Amino acid sequence: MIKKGLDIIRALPSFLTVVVMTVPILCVFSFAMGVDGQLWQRLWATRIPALFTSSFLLVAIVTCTTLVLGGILAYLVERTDLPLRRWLKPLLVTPLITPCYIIAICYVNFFGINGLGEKFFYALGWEITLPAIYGFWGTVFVLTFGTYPYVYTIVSSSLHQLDPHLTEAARCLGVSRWARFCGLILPMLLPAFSAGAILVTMYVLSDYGVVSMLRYPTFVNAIYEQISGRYNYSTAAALSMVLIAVTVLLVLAQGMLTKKKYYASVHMRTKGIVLHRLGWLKIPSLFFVAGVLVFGLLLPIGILIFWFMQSLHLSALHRIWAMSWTELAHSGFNSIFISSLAATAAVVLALPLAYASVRRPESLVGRVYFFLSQSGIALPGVLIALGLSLIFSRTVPALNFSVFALFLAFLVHFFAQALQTSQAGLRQVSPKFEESARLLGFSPIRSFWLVTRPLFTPALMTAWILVFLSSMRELPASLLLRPAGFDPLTVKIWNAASEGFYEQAAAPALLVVILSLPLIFVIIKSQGKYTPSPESN
Amino acid sequence: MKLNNFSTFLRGGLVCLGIIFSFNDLAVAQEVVVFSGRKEALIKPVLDLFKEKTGIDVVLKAGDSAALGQQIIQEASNPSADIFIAKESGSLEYLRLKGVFEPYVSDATAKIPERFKAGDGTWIGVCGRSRAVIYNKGLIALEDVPKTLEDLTREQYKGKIAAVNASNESFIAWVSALRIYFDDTYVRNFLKKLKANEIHLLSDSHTDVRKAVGRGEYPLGLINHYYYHLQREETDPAVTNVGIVYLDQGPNDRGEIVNVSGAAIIKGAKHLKQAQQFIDFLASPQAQQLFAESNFEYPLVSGVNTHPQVLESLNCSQASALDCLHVMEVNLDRFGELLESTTDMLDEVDWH
Repeated sequence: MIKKGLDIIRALPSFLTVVVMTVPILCVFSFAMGVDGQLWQRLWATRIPALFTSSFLLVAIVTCTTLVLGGILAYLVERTDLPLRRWLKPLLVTPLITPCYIIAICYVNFFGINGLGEKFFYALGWEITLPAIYGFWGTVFVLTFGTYPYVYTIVSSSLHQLDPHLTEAARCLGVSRWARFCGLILPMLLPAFSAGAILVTMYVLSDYGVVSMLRYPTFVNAIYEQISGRYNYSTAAALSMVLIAVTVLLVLAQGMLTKKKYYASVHMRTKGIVLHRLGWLKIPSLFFVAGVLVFGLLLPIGILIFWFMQSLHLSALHRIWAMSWTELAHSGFNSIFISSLAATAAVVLALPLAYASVRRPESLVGRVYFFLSQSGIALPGVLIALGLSLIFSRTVPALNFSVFALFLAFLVHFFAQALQTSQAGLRQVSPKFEESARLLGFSPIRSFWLVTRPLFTPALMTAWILVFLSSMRELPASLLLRPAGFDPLTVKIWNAASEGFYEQAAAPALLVVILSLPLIFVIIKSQGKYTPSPESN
Repeated sequence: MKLNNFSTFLRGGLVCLGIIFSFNDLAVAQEVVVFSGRKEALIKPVLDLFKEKTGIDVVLKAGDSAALGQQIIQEASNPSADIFIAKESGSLEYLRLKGVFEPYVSDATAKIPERFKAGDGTWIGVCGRSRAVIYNKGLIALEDVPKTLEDLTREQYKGKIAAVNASNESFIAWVSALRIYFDDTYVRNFLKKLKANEIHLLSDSHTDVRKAVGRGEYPLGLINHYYYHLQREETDPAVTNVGIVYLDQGPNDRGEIVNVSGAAIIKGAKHLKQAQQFIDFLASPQAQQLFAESNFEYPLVSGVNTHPQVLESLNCSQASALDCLHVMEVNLDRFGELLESTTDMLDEVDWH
């Protein structure tokens, strides 16, 4: 009896966490239920079919392109004699340092009639007409270069760990190279591909910045427009409900596709890999990799630096609009402040849930909690902002549009990152250590503190950094929930760039990139260790 | 980088949580909180000048008028904003009807003409703007540019016009004005005809429209007049080859719609004195001058001249553009009650 009571008290923090994580979504849902039938009818007749097609098409194509691009790059770097591959391997992850919407902002101005690109080529003496980047293919282009690293990192680490003896054995048995690739390597990489695909799908489905910058209508920007442009949330909530349904369907579908098979090799040997000789393909392959780096990293950063230099000597009329250094420092502080707050809270709250899921995997309640508390990651920031706004406006209006609301949005949105990372980290700490401490007479909490914690701290750091980075780059919730006088960097970038003041957007954008840079490399270094394995998704 | 000490970690978190809850109380007495539906870049010079002149700090939240309006309505019992600035009178009227504004009349606001402010003193117009058509001189000749509203739906302009979508306030107000002047059936048909004529709805921002026309992506764009002048200010000579046409300007024509961007004090404002100072400042010749100079809008106070470039584009020899422009006669204060039904109509015709 006493034990049971204790268990309930112990489960309370986890329970509260789960409530915080799920209530915003439930709130959107219940609000959408109250939307009148006439509005539904009109939406089904006008907007929903088109948005459904456009969102779905974008997700499908970008997932395919990133799988192909990420897969080819991983293969080139891991399994061929591509020159410089040791250098290229970490470099190919670097497009992640520039948030996708910043890439979009750069390319909107680079491409098109009279764009920066045409001027650049004109200065070199070539008169070239570059097409505008707006619309479907432009969006696919930007999102592909912005998100292929998700696929690339997972597939290349999986390829790296693939046991070469298996392919060796197949070769000895006379299986042709093509058949070896299709029959052996591809199926073994399937979990890695599907993990990458899920990440890309989630990203594309929740993206606001790129699709709005490139004027491609999806559910997310339609919902955002409704929230920001109307005095009534009904349409926003109705569209949100459809989007939630689409998301759930996609996640389930992908789960079904990949649940079937999972391969593992007991020995992890990387010696004795026979590299694929590229031969005459060497130079084209090198150009291909260089092209990816140019479009994903160098060009956007170059454009930002170009704008930044221009912003230093703007005409008097434009200078008056330019951002001052104190303002830049102020919003930089806001970004760091709110992101570290969210990251710290996420890590602290993730701990008990992760602990329970690893140490007591049989508990059904634990598993349900674990699943529910991850819902935030699957849903766009726009939806979470809408949910929180609905709750606060009905309960504590003073908290709506506050630093606290923004903090909560980040926490709900990125909690799953902290949870998955700390879970993966905890898995690597054998329970035996802790059991020994218990046997020596230490209390559970003390033995956790003394034994598990030190081994576990690096994983927590990674979790912290992940949430910090995501929060610092988050756009739609920041736009919707910030209080007056608390503009994070992303809002500064967006407010300037959406009005076409690209030079003024350059300084905050570069600051985001610079702040991201060291943290992303910390994450890449710990990549193999703490990325959630596909089965835990 | 490494944070091995777990208790530092926890302590840091607690300190941060402490800060968060005290954050809202750090209010400084000498400040005024401004919610602006006008884009930050288009209001910043005026805010800076106000700060310089009075020493009062301006805390700004720039965003979409409707989103800010929602927030003001929700916070009615405990407002965080002191001032609301909107791009056009529809949002101001809508919020006035919701009863969230504090009336304020002073010598300064008395100088604003009656037709450009609320009868009960709740909001004032700050500067005027009219609808207009921007065209790319390289792609279309002046004589081929549409001259009337109905021209826009003609076959020859199929796929050639760029415009904003239903999320733009000025556009919503324009449609409301047409609904007042004509009737709903006429306006709905007009919008449908424009859609059938393959009008390109770029985004919710007129800046995108002016830039697209300037770059030569489209020959024609529907804008507010000052976007034409802003396009001419671009530093790159390749994109400034644009012209402007005001529709329906013949002696017997119905004229262009003129709207105002305006401001109001929020009921229960925490910095009422400063807010009143701010409103007086907006109506002052100095601020009016700045709006006219930096953003090419029509000053509303007599004695402040319209920007010479604006006058030139109108062939106007008067001091105020409003004396030359043929203005469509509609009451600005009806835009508020029509706002929601107008957005419904735009959704119906799928203006997205």
